[in-house]
Amino acid sequence: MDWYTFLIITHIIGTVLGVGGATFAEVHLIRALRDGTMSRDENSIMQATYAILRVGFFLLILSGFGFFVLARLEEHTGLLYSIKLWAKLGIVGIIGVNAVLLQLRWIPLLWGSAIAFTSWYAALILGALGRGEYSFFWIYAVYIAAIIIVYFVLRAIHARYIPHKH
Amino acid sequence: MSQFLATALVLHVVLGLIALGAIHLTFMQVIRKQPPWGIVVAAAWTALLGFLLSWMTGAYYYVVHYGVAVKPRIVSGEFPWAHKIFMEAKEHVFLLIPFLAVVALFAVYALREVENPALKSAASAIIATTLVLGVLVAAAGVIVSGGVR
Amino acid sequence: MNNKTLMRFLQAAAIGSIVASILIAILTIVGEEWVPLKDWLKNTFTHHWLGKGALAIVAFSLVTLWQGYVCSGEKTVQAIWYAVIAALLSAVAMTGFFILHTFQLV
Repeated sequence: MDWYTFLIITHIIGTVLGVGGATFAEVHLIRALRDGTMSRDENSIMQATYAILRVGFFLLILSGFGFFVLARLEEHTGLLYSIKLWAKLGIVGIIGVNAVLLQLRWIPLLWGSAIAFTSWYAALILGALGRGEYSFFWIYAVYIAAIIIVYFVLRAIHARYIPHKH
Repeated sequence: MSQFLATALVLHVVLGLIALGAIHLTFMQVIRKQPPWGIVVAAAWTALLGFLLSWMTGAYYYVVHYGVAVKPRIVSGEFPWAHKIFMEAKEHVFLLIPFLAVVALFAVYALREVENPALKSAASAIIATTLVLGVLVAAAGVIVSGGVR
Repeated sequence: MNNKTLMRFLQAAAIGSIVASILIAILTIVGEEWVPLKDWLKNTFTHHWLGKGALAIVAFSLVTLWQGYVCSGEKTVQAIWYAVIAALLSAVAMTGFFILHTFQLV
């Protein structure tokens, strides 16, 4: 197995854990809050989900930088200035910052969830897209629109399934 | 580039990323209401050791190879600013980080023994500063590598 | 190590970090503008960047040890905040300098 294949596998595992983790974080959160409170067991499930998410995030960063180093060593450095790559790196940065803001409770839960969920899928999609001409502006315009749409979808789901305190 | 130099470069990046992951974990756990001190202390130590080892391996690559073989290519190429701005900034901002990591480690030990909200805020700030500067240095590294054509 | 000693050395390390941050910025910016300094660093330490790192380590270590024995440990929180500010200002100053230097404005 060459280094490139190893990095691809690691990157895919990171994506699976991260995107899967982000998805199940929302599913578990809604299920946990359905009765109005989060029990100890439900909190444990949430913590385990976040831990898997963090492992996925770390594997993605490590393997992602592995690609950069490989590109440098094999002198294929053109990709390091690709718009698609930097758009994706920006979104990865947003995932990290959003996690901090959520932990600090400096961002409302629904907005934080919408940003996390959308960002993980956006990073996946950008990674899967082939080479071509991309516009930073349009990538982020679609990304921000997606966050807003996901926010309203999550809000509707929360309103439907989670009792509100009066 | 020799195998040894390539290894030094790879280790510099990997150890730096491990340090960043560790300082991120330190921060995320310190800001909790009840930080798990075992994890926090281990993460802070990992961050400090990671930064120090990344410094050493990066220093070897930089002094032995970058200045003579890489810098001239970047400066004479399409993207001279990759060295003149990003590498120059990166190599100097990086020097701040290990000292911040030492303070972060001491702060974590102090927080473990002393319950003090003001100390917790200050400690969180210095850990966050270490993280932010580290992330910027890592991003600059990508830009510098991209300038090598 | 008791709590008071811990707080003293934390305050001392924060002060050491402040000194290191300022020293690194001064050596970097002055070194670019005044060639004899850069040459001295290169001749003494083989490479100017190694010299900056070495001097920063020495300054940090000496200041931390000295302050660890003389400081009270009662201004730890302030010292940490000043260390944060010093590091950020140093980073901004050095980055800003290299941007201006590249465009030959300094």
